[in-house]
Amino acid sequence: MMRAVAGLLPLALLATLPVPAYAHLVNSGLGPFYNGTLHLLLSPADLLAVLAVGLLAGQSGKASARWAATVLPLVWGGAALAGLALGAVTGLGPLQVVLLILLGVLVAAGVQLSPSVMASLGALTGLVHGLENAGAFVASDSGLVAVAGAAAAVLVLTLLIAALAVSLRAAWTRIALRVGGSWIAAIGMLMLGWLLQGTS
Amino acid sequence: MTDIRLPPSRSTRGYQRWISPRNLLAVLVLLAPMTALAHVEGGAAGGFLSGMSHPVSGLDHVLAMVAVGLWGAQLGAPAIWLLPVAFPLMMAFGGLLGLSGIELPAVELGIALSAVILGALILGAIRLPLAAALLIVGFFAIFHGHAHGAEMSPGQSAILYSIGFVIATGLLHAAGIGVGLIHRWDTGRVALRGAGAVVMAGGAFFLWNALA
Repeated sequence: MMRAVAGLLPLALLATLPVPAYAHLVNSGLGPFYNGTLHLLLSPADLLAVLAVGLLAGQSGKASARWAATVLPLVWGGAALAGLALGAVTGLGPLQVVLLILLGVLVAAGVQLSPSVMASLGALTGLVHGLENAGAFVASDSGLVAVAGAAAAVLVLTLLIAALAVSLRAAWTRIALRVGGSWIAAIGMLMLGWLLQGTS
Repeated sequence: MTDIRLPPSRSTRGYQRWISPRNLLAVLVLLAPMTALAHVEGGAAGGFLSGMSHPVSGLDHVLAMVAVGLWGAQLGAPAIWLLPVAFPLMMAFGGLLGLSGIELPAVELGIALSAVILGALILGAIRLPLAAALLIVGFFAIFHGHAHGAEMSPGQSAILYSIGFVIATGLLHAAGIGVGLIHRWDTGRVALRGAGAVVMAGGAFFLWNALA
């Protein structure tokens, strides 16, 4: 037992090595609220996740879209606040990417989810991205306000995207939506490859 | 041995006159290395632009992408949109294989063959069952993704490169579909088959190069 623990010790030490976070807020010049908003708008991975949830929610119908637009920003903000209070969580990149692939494939397949399933997927996306982004808000003087700004951006974007997707009636627009889903899944798969290679 | 000292010639005296601390300093300044400015474009925009330009920069890739759109338009619904949905997914899967270090045999051959076969299918206006069409497009997409998806320059943003790469590929499909819509007219149908012949000829050229 002791030998096994001793063998694992170097690995454990290696795992505790600090890695650069590259997670500072961009200064918008308009205060912490807009710094948080801008942080989301300048984070392609977070934007893609919001886009994927919005498209899937809109494709699933009005009820699912309402649930997703409520749950995603709430959980996103809540998770970021939890990370702010308890310490940022890192290493969620692979989970984010797998989630992105799943959301993209569901959009591409034209799947319509029930409100409860859509809300659960929205909550999971919000949790993973909120926790991962907490590191950026820790560095800010007014982390709470910055989180509010980012969550507000998530809310507005999800509402706009889901509303657009719900309103699509013409056949070619529904097809374009599914093509968009395949693009999101493709980007996710390439990202998974970069992660496996250690480039990302 | 007698030490022979030659009187300094006129030209030597001129040379010595030039060796002054000030001129030496000037020479040293001239020898200072300059910035090479020979690096790839960095930053977020660099990654996106690199990803966007990569599919367009290889004619073999362009031919196959446009051919997928052309064939989809020729086959009509639902292939017209199912093929461009399937291609990026399978292409990204090929990229994933490449990035994971899983080698594929004869990648360049597969890419060239994709243009030859897709061109031949368009030229012959061959209507295959949807599953077979998806299988053909998906199979060749893996080779394209394997070869091109992983060619990101160092120091660039991986996610923005991926976004740019997928968008550019999708736009090439859209261009193919746009051109392929001429299929609704009689003359257009003939022209579309002619475009298939051009794709096939281009593919044959790349196939020749791959085999040479």
